[in-house]
Order: sequence, then structure tokens, then C-alpha cells
Amino acid sequence: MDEKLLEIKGLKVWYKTYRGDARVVNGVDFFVRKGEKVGLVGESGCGKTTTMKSVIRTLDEKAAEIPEGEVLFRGKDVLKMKKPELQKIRRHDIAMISQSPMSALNPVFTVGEQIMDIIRFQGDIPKSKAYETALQAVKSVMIADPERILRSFPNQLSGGMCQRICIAMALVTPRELLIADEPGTALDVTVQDQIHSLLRKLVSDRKMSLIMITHSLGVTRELVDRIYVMYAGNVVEESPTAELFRRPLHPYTQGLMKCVPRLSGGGVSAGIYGYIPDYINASPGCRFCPRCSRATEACRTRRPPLVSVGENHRVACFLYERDAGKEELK
Amino acid sequence: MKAYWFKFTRNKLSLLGLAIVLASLFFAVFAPVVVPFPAHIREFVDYSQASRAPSAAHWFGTDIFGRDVFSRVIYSFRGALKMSAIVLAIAVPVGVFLGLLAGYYSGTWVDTVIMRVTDIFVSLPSMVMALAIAAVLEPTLTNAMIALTVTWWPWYTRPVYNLANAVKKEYFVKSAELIGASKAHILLREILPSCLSTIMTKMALDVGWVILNGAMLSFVGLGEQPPIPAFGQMISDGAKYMPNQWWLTTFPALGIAFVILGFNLLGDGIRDMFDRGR
Amino acid sequence: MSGKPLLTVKHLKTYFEIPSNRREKQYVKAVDDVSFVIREGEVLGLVGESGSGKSTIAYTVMGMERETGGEILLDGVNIAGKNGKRPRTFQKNVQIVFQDPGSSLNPYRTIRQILTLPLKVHNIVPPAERRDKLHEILEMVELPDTFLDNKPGTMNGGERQLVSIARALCCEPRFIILDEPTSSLDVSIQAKIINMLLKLRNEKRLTYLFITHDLSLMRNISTRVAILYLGKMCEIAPTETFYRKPLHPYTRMLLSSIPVISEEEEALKPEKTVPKGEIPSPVNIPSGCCFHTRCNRAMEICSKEDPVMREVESGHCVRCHLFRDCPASGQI
Repeated sequence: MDEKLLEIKGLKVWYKTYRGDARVVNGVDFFVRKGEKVGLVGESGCGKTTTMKSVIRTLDEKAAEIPEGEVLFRGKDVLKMKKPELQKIRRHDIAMISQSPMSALNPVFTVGEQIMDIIRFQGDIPKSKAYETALQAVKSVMIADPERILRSFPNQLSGGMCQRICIAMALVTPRELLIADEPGTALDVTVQDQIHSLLRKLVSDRKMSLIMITHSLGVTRELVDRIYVMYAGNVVEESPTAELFRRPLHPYTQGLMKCVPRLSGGGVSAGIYGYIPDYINASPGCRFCPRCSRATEACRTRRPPLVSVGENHRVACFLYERDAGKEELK
Repeated sequence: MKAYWFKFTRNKLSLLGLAIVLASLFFAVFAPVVVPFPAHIREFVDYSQASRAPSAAHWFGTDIFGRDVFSRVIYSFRGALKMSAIVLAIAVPVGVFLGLLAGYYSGTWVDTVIMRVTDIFVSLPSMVMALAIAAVLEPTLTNAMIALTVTWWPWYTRPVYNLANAVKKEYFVKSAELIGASKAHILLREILPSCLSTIMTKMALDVGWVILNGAMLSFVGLGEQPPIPAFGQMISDGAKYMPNQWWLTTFPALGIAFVILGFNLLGDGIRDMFDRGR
Repeated sequence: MSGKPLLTVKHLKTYFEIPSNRREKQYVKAVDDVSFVIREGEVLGLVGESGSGKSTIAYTVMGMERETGGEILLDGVNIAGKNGKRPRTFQKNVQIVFQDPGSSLNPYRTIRQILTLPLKVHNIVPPAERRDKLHEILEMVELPDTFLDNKPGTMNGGERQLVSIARALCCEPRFIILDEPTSSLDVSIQAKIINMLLKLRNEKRLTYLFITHDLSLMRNISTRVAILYLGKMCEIAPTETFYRKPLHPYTRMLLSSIPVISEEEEALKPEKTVPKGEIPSPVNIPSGCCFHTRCNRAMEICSKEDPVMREVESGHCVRCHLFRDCPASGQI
């Protein structure tokens, strides 16, 4: 249970632009244990999708450069793997589902054909057996009338249905890790709710690990055991779910929580002052510093490391460095 | 601006195209002043120098009248580019305007009338039309231009129609409509800018096509009349003397190829410039 | 309630014909007999999922879609029925802000050009004073003057939405429709924009029709909320009542599904109703009450008869057979 299935160490990803290198991922440490559900929360542009895409290496190698870092899956560095080994991981071990289910499916083929294609990539599997497996997969994502769905084209299905198909496709072979990139965003709230319950159930039934990428704190609260909060290419806070909501420490996390509109009313907060920083001429200091009301001189010049402030709770902020020191002394 | 230049120059060939186009424009504008033998453009005869192969004195040789082929080829750029400029200057606005109207009012009688007329013109083979028109009127450069203009405008109407039809659904166009902007504003200020990249790319490529069509017309004698040189005319005149006096046809043909290549490469570069890719 | 009625919508219907092989025409009933009154100073929220018709109502009121039936009254004058054309006064007094900041602003025009258009069309100020007016408007949305010469492509989503709002304010309107203005923006930028909108409403005495699918957001911005399902209004109530005492089964289902971030909010949600099935296709609306296929309290009458809007208490109306003993509501 404690074994780390996926571990990312000091990952940096730079996008090449004509103005220079955009340092989109700026030294990220991240891990998921076997059977664990982890959330990666951040706003658009913070680098969460880029980080996850580098796990299965679907980034455009010409446009994105990985100057530093390791991505260890079961102890082996994915970034250094050759094609055959990488393909094996993509086919058997790690699956990723994306935000827009409608565009993840090929509109020209029926859903059944697409699922069976994936099954038959595994090896020499006869068509009848592939059909049986596909049927099972579709049933496992709680779709009524699976035969009719297998015969349908993606544009005949609703968004929620397509997302379930994508999940079925991802899980048709037993996987160890599922990466879900904002799976509910394009869907209605009630359908999103169903998809999340489905994910929860499947992941626990099959003892898989789940990485949930989202911009919604509410979704992570319901779904995952541990949360990483990312801002501008760095992990700024890392904590078990309940602890994060009870005691958010990083100024960004606190600001973010205040911005979420509450069901209890009381108006909306004023937002977080300032803008996402320039990734090309990035400052060497803490990237949240210009927007932070509690910034100090140190924040401008050095990047704060992640320090431990409690049970599995780490923050990248100089405000807690002293407290962390005290924690260790105890 | 810098971003546009960056995208344009990413492909070195576009720069080559730009260089060729600038050279062609230079020849067109300054030909009378720059050519080594300006008198050879008009009526000129010097049989002592006739039919000489390319040499140091005459880089492209001389024709049967003793005229310097190099000067005449350079001077031909003038007529060719003038023709392109005028044909496009008339055909493009007409075609674009009709396309905008039809696209914006698609589904109504305006659309039907304009597009059916366009369909008719598009289905006419342009060369045949041009020949017919040029045959009915006198064979001059002006009439060749009229002939090409009449058959050229519809090729702008359909792409602009498709673009206008799509762009009018964008929310910024709807915003302008809801605010109460005049139709002229909506067509020219809201919809047209989105069409410009397509139009400009097509125009750059079309310069080459007009020149080629113009050369075809002047090849059969419908264009710039002698003694003023034109590419097609020179090729036609020199064809009789192939392969002995090969320089009479080869250099004008290379001239056409040169200018068309230049505009094609430039057109590709313009298209890259506007490409909203990475 | 607040002021006098500004916008009244009576039995509005917007049907879209779909090509079909059958003899009778087939329609998508995007808006099916919706009525409501918006009073001056209010913020009426329209909430619903996809297919609910909330955006279509906005588009129909603006004249972007032609209504199939019903009346739209601005200050008591019916403006519907003229093929989508709206009078000049309407074009000035009623503005709309769209959801997608990317396509609401012309990428080839500068902000100055975009904002000057409404000033010119409605002659808000003489040309000499336009520069000052532009400065004033940008100040209202807290954008610097330097933005005037930029094109939308250089700005981020939040800034573009602020420009869209500024454009709406140029005409000095009385009423603004906001169609999911922050749905495509991050939560921190959303907070800024919502605050801006509330500030402007107070300063300029504006009335809003605010459309969103986000119930938590709605709680904090609206004074009254109406919930729509498949083109029909299910429930409408003052905000506090809507959230404290939701009556319609769909309202309760929706409220129980939203993700919240604190225990106290969790306690405010109605008991968890597992959403059954999916929203039916708008072409095949279920018989009787359109919600009965997913309703956990459906009775026999629900599949047969379409309920009417009934007033349960002052200002709180529900369209559900569970409340058939309450009096039918007149104009809300």
C-alpha cells in the first residue's frame, strides 16, 4: 500500500516560443501510491495537464523540452524509455481520459469498433472475444442497453455517455493508473456527479490508482484522498484532503478557497489580486509573490522549497519555514 | 507585427519569393530607365546585330530585328505586372463585395441571385471567354485586361461567401448587430477583416495566374501589341525559330517562370503568416 | 418586491423546426411556455442544465432567435413579433454579455474601436468627448487606458470579459443579460468579475438577468432564482427561499449533486438524490411532466398531465403535481 506507483521528481517542462522558453512546469515533485486517489488542483495555465502529459509522453517533442526531472513509474524512468517499452506502458499500465469526450472519440467509427480496436491491440484476439470484452466493458460503466450503444456513433450519444465510453475504453484492460483530466468539465452537474461516483467505484473495485486533474476544489474534496495544489508551474501545497480544507496554509490555497462561491451565501470574495506571471521571463523567486499580501523580501529572490508542516502536509512558502523547523525539532 | 514577420520568415523560401517579387516590381517600375538598350523597346531595327546568340554585349542575345532580348524581357515585366495589378484591383473588390453580401444574406434572394450568377461565370472556361471577348473587341492590352477581369471576379466570391457565412455566426458579429450597427459596418468592419487573410493569400498567388493567362492571350496576339514586348508575344514570335535561336523563347519563358515562382512563394509565406497554428 | 416591472415575458415559446421524414413537423421546444417578470434593480437568475433553454430565452429576448409564441414586454410595450427586430430604445437599454470571451470580441479590432461602436451608433456623447467617455468606462471595469490600443488576442479571458462588460456599459443601459459570463474562467478571475458586476449594479442602478449552471455562484449574485428543465420553468423563488426550502424534485436533485468545499455547506444541501438517468433529448420530451422519468417522487399523474405553476407562498412558485393543492399562480 505504501509503495509509490508513480513518482515525479523535479520535473521541468519548457515550451519553445519565438520570444524564448516558457517555463511552464518549474520543478514539480509528485507521487501516487498503489490504490491511492490523488487530486491535482490548479487554475488554467498552471501546468497540471502538461505535467500529466509528460507521464505518458504525449507532449509534442518538438515544441516541449524536458530539461530536467524524472518520471518514475514502478521505479523506471519513463522519460528515458524507448518506444516499445513506452507503448507497453500506454497499452497496459497507464490510461488517460481527457476533458472533452466528444472529441476524444473518432466520429467516423462506431463506438464498438473503437473499443474493439483497443482490445485487439493487446495481441491476437479473435473478433468474437473482442466483442464480448467490449460488451463487458460497456456494462461496467453502467450503460443500459450496451448492444445498441456499441452499434452507435459518437455523435449519436450524449456527452455523459461519451465520457463513460472513454472510461470504458481506458479500463478495458486492467490498468494500474488512471489519469483523469477534468472528466466532468464539459458535462452537466448531475451527469458529472454520476461520472465521479462511477470513477470512485471502479477505482476501488479494481484497486487502481487515480490521478484527478481539476480546477474545482469541490470535486477533489469529494473524490480524492490527497491533494496537490499547483500554481504557475509549481506545487505550492500538498496535503490529505480533509486537512487541506481544514487548514489551508499557502496564501494561494487560502485565496482560492475564498474565491469559491459558497452555498451558504455571503457574497463573493474580491478574487486574488494580480495576474498569472510571465512564464518566459520568470522571476527566480516564488511565482506567487507579486500577488501575495504576505510577501517578504526573501520571496522575491528565492523559490521556497516544500517544507513539512504536519502529517503528510507540505507547503512551499517561507512563512512556514520557521514552523517547519520547529516541527522537526520536536 | 514582429510575430507576423517571424512566421513569414520561418520558411526561407518565402524570403526568396519576396526577393523575386521585389525584383520583379523593380523591373516593372524602372524598366525604361534600367534596361541597357531602351530604344530596342520601340521600333528599332539593326540587322547587323540580328539573331546573335547570348554574349557579353547582349546577355539574352538579339532577335531577328537586332533588338536586345534582355531589355525586352525586362520590359515585359511592366506589362505583366500592370495587367495583374489592374485585373485584380477591379476583380477582387467586386468579387469580395458580392461574396460578403451573399454570405451575410445567405438563405435569402440576395444569396440566390448573386451565387447563381457567380456559378454561371465560374463555369465559363476563362480562356475561351477571354479569347471571345478579346476577339470581339480590338486586340489591345486594355481589352485583354477587361477579358480577364470579367472572368476573374467569381473566384473570389465563393470563398468569401463561405467565410462570411461562417463568420456572421460569431458572437462579435451578433454583438454589433444587437448594438444596432449599420449593415455596411458589419460587412466591412466586422466580417471582412476575418476574410482578409484568405483574400490576400489568394491575391498573391493570383498575380502569377493572371500573368500566365495574360501570356497565353498575348501568345495568340491578344494583348500588348508589337513593338511593345510581352512575354507570350515574344515566345510566340520566337517559336518559329526554335531550336536554332533558342534564346528567343527560352528567356521570356524563364521570365514568366521567375515571376510566377516569386509570387507563389510569397503567397505561401503570406499564408504561413496568417496561420494561427502554434 | 423592488421597483416597477422592467422586462416581462409572457408564455414565451421558441421552437426550432428540425428536418424530418415524418408528415407532422418535428420541433425542438427549446423554450416552452415560460413566463416571468423582472423588476428594476433585481438580479433574476436563470439556472439549468443543458437543454434547459436558459440561453435560448436570453437570445429570444434579444431578438437573436425568433419567438414562436408569447409576448416580450419592455416597460409594458410588447416588442415581440417583429421578426427579431428590436426598437432603437431596446438596443440601447438592453445589452447582453456572452459566455465565450474568445468569440465575443472581434480579434481584428482594437478595444478602442470595439468600445467606440456603441458610442457612435447611439450617439451617447459627441465625438469630442469620446476619449473621456472611454476612459470613464474602462475605469468602471478597472482596466487601464493602455488597453485601448490592444487587440483582444493579447488579453486573457478575464480581461476580455471585462471588455465585453464595458461594451455593454457604453450604451448606458438599464438592463443587462449575462449569459454564463464566467463559466469559462478560473474561479479567482470569476470572483473578480462577479464583484465588479455587483459593484456596477449598485453604482449604475442596473437590472440583471444572470444565467449560469453554477448553483453556488447563483446563491451569491441573484435576488431571485428560476430553475428550468427542458424548456419549462420548474420553480422560482427569492434566493434565500430557493436555497433554504427548495421544493421541486429537480431543484433538490440538482442542489444535492453540487460539489461544495465545506462541511457547513454540505449540511445545507438537501438529502442526496442520486440522479437517475440522463437528460432526455429535447426532441423526445417525455409526456406529462417532462421531469417524471428521472423524478424520485413521480406519481401516476406525472406521466399523464403537465403540471401548472402554483404559488406555494408569496413569491415562491413551483410547477409540480406534489403541490396541486396550492392555488395556480398568475403573473409572477
